[in-house]
Amino acid sequence: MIKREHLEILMESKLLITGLAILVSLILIAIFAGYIAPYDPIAQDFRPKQPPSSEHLLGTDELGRDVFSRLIYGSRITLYVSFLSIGVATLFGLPMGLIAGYYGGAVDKAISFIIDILLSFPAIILTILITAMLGPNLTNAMLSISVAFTPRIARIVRGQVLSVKEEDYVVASKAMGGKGWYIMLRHILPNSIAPLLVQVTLALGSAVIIESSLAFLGLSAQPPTPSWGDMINRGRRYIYTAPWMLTAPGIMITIAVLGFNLLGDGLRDVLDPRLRRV
Amino acid sequence: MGLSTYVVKRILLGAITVFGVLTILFFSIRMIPGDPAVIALGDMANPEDIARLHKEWGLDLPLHEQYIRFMSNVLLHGDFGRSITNDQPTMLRIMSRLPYTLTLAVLGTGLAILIGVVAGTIAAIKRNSVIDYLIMVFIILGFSVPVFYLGILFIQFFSIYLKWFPVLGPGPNYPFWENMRRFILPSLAVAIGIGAVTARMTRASILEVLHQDYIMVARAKGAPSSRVIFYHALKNALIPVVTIVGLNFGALLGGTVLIEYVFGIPGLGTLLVEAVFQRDYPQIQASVFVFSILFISVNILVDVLYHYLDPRIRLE
Repeated sequence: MIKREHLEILMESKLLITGLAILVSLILIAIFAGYIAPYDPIAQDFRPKQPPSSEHLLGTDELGRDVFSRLIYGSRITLYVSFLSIGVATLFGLPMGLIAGYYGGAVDKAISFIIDILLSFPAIILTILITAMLGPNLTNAMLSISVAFTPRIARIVRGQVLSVKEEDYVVASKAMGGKGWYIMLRHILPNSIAPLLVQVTLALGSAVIIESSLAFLGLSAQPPTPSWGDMINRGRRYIYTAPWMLTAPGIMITIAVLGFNLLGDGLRDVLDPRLRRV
Repeated sequence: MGLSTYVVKRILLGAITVFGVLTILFFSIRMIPGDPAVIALGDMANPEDIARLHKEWGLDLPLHEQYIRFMSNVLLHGDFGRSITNDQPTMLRIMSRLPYTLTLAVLGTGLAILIGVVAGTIAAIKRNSVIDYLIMVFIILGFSVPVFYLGILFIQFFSIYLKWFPVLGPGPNYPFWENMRRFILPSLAVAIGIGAVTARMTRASILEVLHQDYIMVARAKGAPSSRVIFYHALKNALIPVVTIVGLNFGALLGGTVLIEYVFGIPGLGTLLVEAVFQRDYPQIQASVFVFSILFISVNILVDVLYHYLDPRIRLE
């Protein structure tokens, strides 16, 4: 549980503060996109591929749309997809891991088998398979990311449960007649939450990479929705004549992933005392 | 458990996993909303073609018969059906593309280990120096840049600005050495992410090993610093590095798909992406299957290598 001592380390962790600052800024940009963006992100101007100027800070794309405005609105897709898909993955992965780890035996074998099979596809290939079969759009991209990350989260939770399960307080609670679900929620979950929090944060960063990769392949949000991966895909065709089209979204994806990674690493430093001195 | 028993056990477990993978692939075509044959051939397709595809995919049979047929076709004949786009067997198309992907994956892994171990070792030796901080920045950025954007950045900088390399990757029309030259940028792009992970692991691992008793002993006996680092420390520090490279091989393999697409390399990844664009479902299934077979095999290899390198670890 978070104590005062933790908050002090929290403030000292530069990684964590930097990561948090990046993410809070991104969230604010996404919320207030309508106020920040100078133009409508899908409105077309008759002068395409204008270089950056005072009128269009980051230039315009091949349809004459303002790149800066599309960039601002693109943050919405990125954050929406990563939080929702990893949220759903946690919703399914957490109970899977808890049940597998706590009950062991045949239940564990069955769940672990499903986890192992889903993990024998590289994440991006599993998501390509699912979006290709279900049809390329934002919802299916999110669904595919959830499917790819559920086994990853379940496996982490399971490992965590296995290490907590033999602790005295769990054994004591069992001896006093505590029910399975009560022990899981009251004792095991709170003591497994720290490493899970770190992994979920890092997974959010991976989800940003996967969503932008799918969008880059044209398998996520469809035009004219402004999404960073799609902006790079379009910009790539004009790499000689309008390189500004892809540079800004590329940097933004990197910054977003960086934010989640720094926050995750920072959390790990704070929550895992064994690593603190390394 | 002896090493050979362990290897056999892992291969058997791998075979069971392959069954699971095939089951997922079997259901993947049935996941398609609507009639997959109509979707694959388009609305204007003539009924004979649709009926032919139904028959070929076995969609006219009961589900359990379809499953048995699918499994026996794949396992007994290596047959994933024919590609819809050019009517060649899907596996034949894969075999002609596989060398590019394997070369990219092998070069990428090699470069990742090289970059990671060198950068990680330097960072550990020069701990808390400017070089260490620069390497840390490289590590954090290497984690965060999406591989497809890194590939494009390399093209922009090395190909368009410096003109050192061609924009396109290797292909069937170039002589061997020209292809090798064209592999440099794509392999480097594939390698950076895993290189960063490896560098961080190497750094942490060497710093930990340097405090071990046998290093103290070596130093106390007056062994020169370079010998302590390269002979005693590095050898032991590399064990976790093997694991980390193995664990991240999946990400590297996924990276090859995007990098092949960026550099226009005619490998398995571009075949998959083309198949997706053309809704060539049998080709998608077969390509995904080969990717996961590669992935499963490398995982087994890494586990075996790991136990071989560190006999202290029990085989389970």
